[in-house]
Amino acid sequence: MKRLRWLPLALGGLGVTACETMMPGDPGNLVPPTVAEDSRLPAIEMNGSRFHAQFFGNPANPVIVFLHGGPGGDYRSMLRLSERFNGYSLADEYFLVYWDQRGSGLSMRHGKELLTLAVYSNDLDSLVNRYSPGRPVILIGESWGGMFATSYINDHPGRVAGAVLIEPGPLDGATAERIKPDMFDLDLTSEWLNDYAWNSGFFTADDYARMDYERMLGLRDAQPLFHEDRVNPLPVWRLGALASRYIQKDGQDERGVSVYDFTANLAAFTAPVLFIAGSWSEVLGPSLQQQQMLRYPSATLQVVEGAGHDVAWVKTPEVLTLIKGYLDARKGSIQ
Amino acid sequence: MNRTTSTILGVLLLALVARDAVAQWNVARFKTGRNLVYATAGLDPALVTAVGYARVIELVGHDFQFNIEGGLAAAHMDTRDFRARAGIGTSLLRWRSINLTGSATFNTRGTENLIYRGFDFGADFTGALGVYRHGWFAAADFGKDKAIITYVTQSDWYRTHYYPDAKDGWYLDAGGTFHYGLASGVALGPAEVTLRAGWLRTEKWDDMLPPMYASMGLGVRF
Repeated sequence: MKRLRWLPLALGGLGVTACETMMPGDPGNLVPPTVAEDSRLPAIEMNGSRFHAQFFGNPANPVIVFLHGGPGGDYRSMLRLSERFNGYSLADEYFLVYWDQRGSGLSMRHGKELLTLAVYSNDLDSLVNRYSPGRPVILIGESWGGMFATSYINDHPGRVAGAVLIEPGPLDGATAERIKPDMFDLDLTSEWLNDYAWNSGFFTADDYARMDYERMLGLRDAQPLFHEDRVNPLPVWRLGALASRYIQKDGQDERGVSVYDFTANLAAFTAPVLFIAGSWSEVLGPSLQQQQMLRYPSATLQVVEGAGHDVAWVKTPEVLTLIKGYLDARKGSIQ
Repeated sequence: MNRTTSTILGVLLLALVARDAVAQWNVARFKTGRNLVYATAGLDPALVTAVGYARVIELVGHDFQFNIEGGLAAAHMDTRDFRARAGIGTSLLRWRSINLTGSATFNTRGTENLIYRGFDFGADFTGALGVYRHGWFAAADFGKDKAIITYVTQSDWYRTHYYPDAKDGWYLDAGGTFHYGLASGVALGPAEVTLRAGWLRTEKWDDMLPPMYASMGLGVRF
């Protein structure tokens, strides 16, 4: 009996602990709540969903729609492009529309049936028609956002007055397949990949919160050739793991080979396009963008020195100067 | 409170009635040697190396193999990613050389990664059906590994750059995976070499990264 003296203590300790347990899927525990879970967040209703969104500037001004990276990222890092640098803000002359795409960031989550390229395109079209009815918009897209912008321009060339594409990902499946080996560090002995795998003993991706939380594990080390800032990393509120997975899958065949093509109709879009790349970026950087800009009838590439794929985050004033120069030159066409 | 209380009782019961790891070893060789020292290495679910000791004990006329095991994530021998197991396994049904085996293991695991430091208590139940001869065995197995309760401390990096309000504390029912595959082994004198491989699925039967597990074991009975 003497040996069992510890048992009530242990049971008591576990009992106290049990009173303070949490569920991983409850809003706000592991990842921030979405607009469907927290009504205080700025949001819009559209196409049967609820989107996290913010606006800056005068709605009467020409509209710039920002398209964040991913798929499955959010617009948090792009907010810097709305800030004032050297006495100038884009919001002085334009109405800035920021939104987290469906199932991404702090927007409402959906099952895979509603995470397709067609649904995404329809969402963007609805957004454009709501905030710029009858007047073409300017798109500023980063990484996946640059691909998304190109896809939209390809489908609706008349609805876009101009575009700034910051290190857009591959604009067609063949390019995606070619650069795929360089996109992620898939060395089986790498620390991040083993941490990711080992995590499944603790959290399995069986609800949105857990799958989005798990996704954060690769943020810093999974893409070394992107040369992003590790000390001041590109921020996100919350990744959309399911959106990332199924938007990518929608561009692939049943074997997982990328077969999409966002460029087939780009000849119909004659407005100049500005490409921006960071000089350190190896995969989606200057060499890829020199090839991708040729898909547009009229495009120029500007390379920002001393930055990786997160060029708009770490070199915001320089990127903003390039965007302002591009927009100033296009002013006659976009008013 | 009902859910948490029942979960804690479940953990305690699992610890008391624990059974496992027999899927990796040949139940037909229990009488060859009562003691087994072994090492395993493989992808399970990360790259892991483990060492263990097992002893076969006869209870009410039936052989049970009890084991204890410790393992580390092998990539860079990261001591922050570890697991310890204690389990029991036996042959539940036997007809000639065909055995239905069952095992249950009490697990505790630790990890430290970019976004959190975690420590959990869980259990694994595995059944295997196959042919077990003295010199070899081959079986199909199916089981479930469940993280029942997990203590999480969010990293400074995650709080600073991403989500300052992320909550530390005990999380219930945070993880669970099904595993199914094949196990086989051959005996070389007192030694056994085993292979075990299969697929992993989440509790909602979704696929995972990595989608499979595979491990090789070497044991010596004496």
